[in-house]
Amino acid sequence: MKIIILVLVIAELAFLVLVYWLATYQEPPVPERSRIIAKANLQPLTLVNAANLEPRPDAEHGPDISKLSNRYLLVGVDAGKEVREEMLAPPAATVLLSDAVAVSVPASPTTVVGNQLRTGDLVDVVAVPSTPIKKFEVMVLTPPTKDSSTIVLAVQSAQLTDFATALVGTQLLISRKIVATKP
Amino acid sequence: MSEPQANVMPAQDARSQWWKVKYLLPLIVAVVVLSTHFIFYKNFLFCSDGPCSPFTVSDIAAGIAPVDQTKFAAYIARASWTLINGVHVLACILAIVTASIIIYRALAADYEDGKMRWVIVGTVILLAADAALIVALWTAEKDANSPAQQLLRATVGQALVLPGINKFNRWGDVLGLTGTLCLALAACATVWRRDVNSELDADKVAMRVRLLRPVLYVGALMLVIAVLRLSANHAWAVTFLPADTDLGKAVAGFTKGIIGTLGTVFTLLIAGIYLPAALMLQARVRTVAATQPNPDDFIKNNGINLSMPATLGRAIVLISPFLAGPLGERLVEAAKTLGG
Repeated sequence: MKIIILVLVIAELAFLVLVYWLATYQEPPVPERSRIIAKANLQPLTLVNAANLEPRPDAEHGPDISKLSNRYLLVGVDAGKEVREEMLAPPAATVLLSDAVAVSVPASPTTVVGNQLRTGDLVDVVAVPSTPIKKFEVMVLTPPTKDSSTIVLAVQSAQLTDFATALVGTQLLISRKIVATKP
Repeated sequence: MSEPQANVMPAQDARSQWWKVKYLLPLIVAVVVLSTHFIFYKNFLFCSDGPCSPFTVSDIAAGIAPVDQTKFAAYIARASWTLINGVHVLACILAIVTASIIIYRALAADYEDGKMRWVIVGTVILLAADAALIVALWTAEKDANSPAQQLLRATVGQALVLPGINKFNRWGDVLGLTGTLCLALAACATVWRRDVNSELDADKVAMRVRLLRPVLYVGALMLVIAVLRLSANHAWAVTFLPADTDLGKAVAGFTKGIIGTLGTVFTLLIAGIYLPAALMLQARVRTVAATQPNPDDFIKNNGINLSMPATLGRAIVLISPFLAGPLGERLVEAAKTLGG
């Protein structure tokens, strides 16, 4: 009996020590995921740069923010949330969006591009028949949806008059460059 | 006390007290199964000395989908994880309590003092818990960079989700292993004889056979829930990765492999605990039944039928942790689908 009680006491002491040991054991730290976050609440179509973006965990270990700089946000982002490549308009759209107006055009078989249009797509709008044929480089702000039969485009302010004139008596054709992947 | 005399078998040739080691076979086999698992898989588990994972925390972290894409799947996976972990804790407590009762009752013949038996029960539980804690501390030191640990750390372990997921799992593992070892020791108690040369008592043999059954049922239940817990852990981690990416597909396949492997190990574990004790008691049943006026009635009246149909039912229970593996895989699949 005495031996068993001795074993019990030793087992109990070992139990307390081991519980304390496991409770205070430090698991390896979780490395913070490297990402770029918004410093403040950002509205859609805000130009992002070092003033409103911040790399995490820090400038030395975090990602390079230059690839996202000087581009326009397509969606709103709250302060502290991640800003990713797909949330931004392409770099080529920066000049267009710096002085642009939003214009609605009707969705039709020749303008919806098989319902493949996405916000941020850079597309060409051609008015036919027209002489000479007029072509405008614009960006899709809102593609057509089931509930909306219009497409909202960002058109350079300087081209607005020409764009409006080209719509009269013509049919619009929207085209988007096919990005083919070659082996 | 006069009736049991009629059931007493004459003593066999004197045996060494070392014969008692045989009574520890359920525990020994369980330890061998677990040791074999660690020996065979150490190159895939213990990464402190070198890389043993096809991906790192950084790889996983880089592939995590935006919260908006995964919030529903992550919510469901977290709810499943919480539920299954709660059930797992209850199952482990049930296993420890069941083992305590079995040990207390099985040792009644050899240790008449009830207080003494409770001291033995307490000692057994504490020793099992000590062993489980040592294993948890050892594996925490060794497997910090194993694929599963890295996956959980990079996903569920992210700040604001559940930073202590790995520590939480260690405690769950401690509880599970404590319950398993307690059941193994309970199986030992059902075959334990303080004096290896003592005479067999038919009633006591019958009682011990009946006491062994809860070891099988509770053990299998606990290990099935352990497989589901493992699945819920990994399913939660998988929801953080987009299902249609190469990384998401690779990790989902990888977690299915872990679940299937451990389902098999748990099946071997419950078989290793139950079968040695069952075979020893079966031999004793045959011995004492032969002394009864009607051996078949003796077996039937004491509910210790060892016939094929009865054994088959128990065999299905034995492989239930293995069968739970595919169920767990479905959980990962469901989480992956929702995540996509």
